[in-house]
Amino acid sequence: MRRRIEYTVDSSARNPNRGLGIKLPFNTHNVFTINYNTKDQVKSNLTNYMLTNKGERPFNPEFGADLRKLLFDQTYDFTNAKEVLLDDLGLYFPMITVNNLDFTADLQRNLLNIKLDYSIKKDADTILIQIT
Amino acid sequence: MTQKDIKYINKDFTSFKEALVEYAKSYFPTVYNDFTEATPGNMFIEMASYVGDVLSFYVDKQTQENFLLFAQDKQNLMSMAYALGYKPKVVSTATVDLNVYQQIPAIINSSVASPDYSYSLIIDKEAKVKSFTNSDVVFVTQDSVDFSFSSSFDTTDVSVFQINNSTNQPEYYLLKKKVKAIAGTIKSQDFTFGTAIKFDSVTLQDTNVIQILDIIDSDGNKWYEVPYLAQNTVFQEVKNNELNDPFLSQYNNTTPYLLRLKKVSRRFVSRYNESSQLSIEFGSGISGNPDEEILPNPDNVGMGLIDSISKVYAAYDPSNFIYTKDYGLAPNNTTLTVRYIVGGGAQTNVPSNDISQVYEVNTTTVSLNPTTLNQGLLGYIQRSVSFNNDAPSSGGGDGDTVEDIRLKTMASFPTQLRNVTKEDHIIRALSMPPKFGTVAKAYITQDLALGQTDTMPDYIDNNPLALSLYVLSYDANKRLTEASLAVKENLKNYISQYKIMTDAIAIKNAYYINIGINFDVVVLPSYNSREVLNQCLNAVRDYFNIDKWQINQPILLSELTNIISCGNIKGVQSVIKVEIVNKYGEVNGYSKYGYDIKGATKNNIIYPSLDPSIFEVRYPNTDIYGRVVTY
Repeated sequence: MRRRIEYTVDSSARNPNRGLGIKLPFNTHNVFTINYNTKDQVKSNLTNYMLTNKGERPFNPEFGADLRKLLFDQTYDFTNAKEVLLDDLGLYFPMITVNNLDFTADLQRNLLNIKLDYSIKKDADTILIQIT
Repeated sequence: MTQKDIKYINKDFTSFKEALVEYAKSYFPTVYNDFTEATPGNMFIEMASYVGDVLSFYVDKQTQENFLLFAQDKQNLMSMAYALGYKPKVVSTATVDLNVYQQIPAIINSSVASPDYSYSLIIDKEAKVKSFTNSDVVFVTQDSVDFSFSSSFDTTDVSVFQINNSTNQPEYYLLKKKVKAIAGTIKSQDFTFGTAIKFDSVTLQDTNVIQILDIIDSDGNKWYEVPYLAQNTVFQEVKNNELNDPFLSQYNNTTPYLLRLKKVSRRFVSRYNESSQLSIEFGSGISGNPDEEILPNPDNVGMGLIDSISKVYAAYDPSNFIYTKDYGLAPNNTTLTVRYIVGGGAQTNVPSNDISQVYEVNTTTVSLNPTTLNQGLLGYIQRSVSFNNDAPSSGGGDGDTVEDIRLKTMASFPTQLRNVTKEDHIIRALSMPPKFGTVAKAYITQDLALGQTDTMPDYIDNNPLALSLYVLSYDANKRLTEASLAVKENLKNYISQYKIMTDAIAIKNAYYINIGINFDVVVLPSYNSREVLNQCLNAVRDYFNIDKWQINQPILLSELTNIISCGNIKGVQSVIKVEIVNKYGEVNGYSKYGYDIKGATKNNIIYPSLDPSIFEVRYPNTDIYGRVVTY
């Protein structure tokens, strides 16, 4: 199991004048919007990770949740996919604790709903990301 | 070696990313601080790094392609090869030494039969002979064959072919010579030119062109191939007869051809392109005026600049003078017929005794007045020409690979076709084709180094730093002789193309010192004395084989003793005496120069004279005298 150096919430996050990174989705007016706290930044990072397929990033082919291929898997059993995703989240996002990860297939509309319920370590708030 | 990667700017994806992260940390500390892998900002940094990496790769690749040692692209290597003087091959064809035969009638003088050389033929070059096993393979001779000429390097073997039963005398002799031939088919292609275009070029349609034979324009002018367009002279061989040179023709028995330099304005270079086709490039001269009239001189430079305040301030375009014929003429309003050889490949390697089908042979007679010959007999003689190959042809195959081009270019580059060192001069002199006369031995030095001041005014300016090139020739029996004036004249023309302009070179005769060897050996009791002596004689003959001797080479008596000692020849118990004696006197067939062997011997070494000289055992069968003695 690959392990990364433990991530701690940047103290700069408490400084509203100090930007952390780029926010997703991009803003139509300014394109790039700045996140000023760790929660928002982690959410943007998770969104970015979920929307990235493996092999997309140059020189980093293992990066990405690779969710798109699940759409075309001839199975409704997402147990294995969940395990892989949880394992990767532990690797790339050591600063979060996953409370719940849920895969739901909507066969009528050809959709796959993914709900990620997580909280940032040392922070009591729970955050939900929902990707369809 | 060729796998080495050049990193000209040493930037790859990782280093670019690190640099951009550092840049963001330094210049945007209040805007951007998340550098984890998943952050969208990191994605943009990586994309920029990727672009940098790709651009760096191309910079590295282009830099790599600039070096002969590392380039991988064949076309780049070919360009570098041409620049460094090597002409790559797109196909290799087989070469072979062909035996050429002709019958010749006998002539009886005082009841003695001898060949009637007035019937000897000259077979023009480009005679075509087919392979017997594969009639698609045609060999083309590279030189003319002159049966009337024979030298130690270009012998004509004579044997009796047919005996007249009634007179019991030879009726026909068989003459045999050797000539080099290459496999290929001669083709031609016409190119029509309109208005002259500077440095115009055309491309032959075939892809397996071996070489261009000639280019003739519609006015009958010949265009000459040169290694580079700035070279405006080519070698030309002319028959050494009274017509061409009344004086030097007296030496035509040893020097059948004279070497002349011809200044040519109609010239071209050829280069293989990326499609393995041969492109021919011409010069830029478009003026019909003679060179001299448009070469820059004080009268014509600036001519017509009437609105200039002063010629001193006028700007001149030196490229205007490229319109002279300095790079050769550009063809205009003419049609060029290019003849070339195509073919090659592994199938041209044929076995021995296979190249014998005469396909196309043109002959002329040596006789200047062939109408006086018996025409019926002459026809028979011409039909008697035949060919054969003792050894298989070899060398046919694919063209140069990338590695071939690289290695051959590196090998070709140091030669540079220039005589700079002493060895350059010697090798160049020895490389003169034998038909221009034989240079058997060569040695170069400064006469000042020899303490001499006399020079040959015919061949040298009054230059105290001049070099003296001492040469010797072989006679028909491969014995050393002084080079004739015809050989020296040819050699002068030959090396003039390779010597450095400021070098002055006097071509002189070296001296040859004829010697004899007397030795006594004691043979072990259990050995046959005659056999042992014979081995000793052969060993000494081999030691003094003239091919192994060079001008100014001393004789090491200890070495000579050693080769006939018990260590090298079984049965020799001891060598009692080894003595070198001088043989001289033209009446006896030796050198006209005597030499004090005893005075030249120091510490068991016989030194040659200060004047460049060479030791020669002229008649090995009689000049080497050995005895078996007993105590």
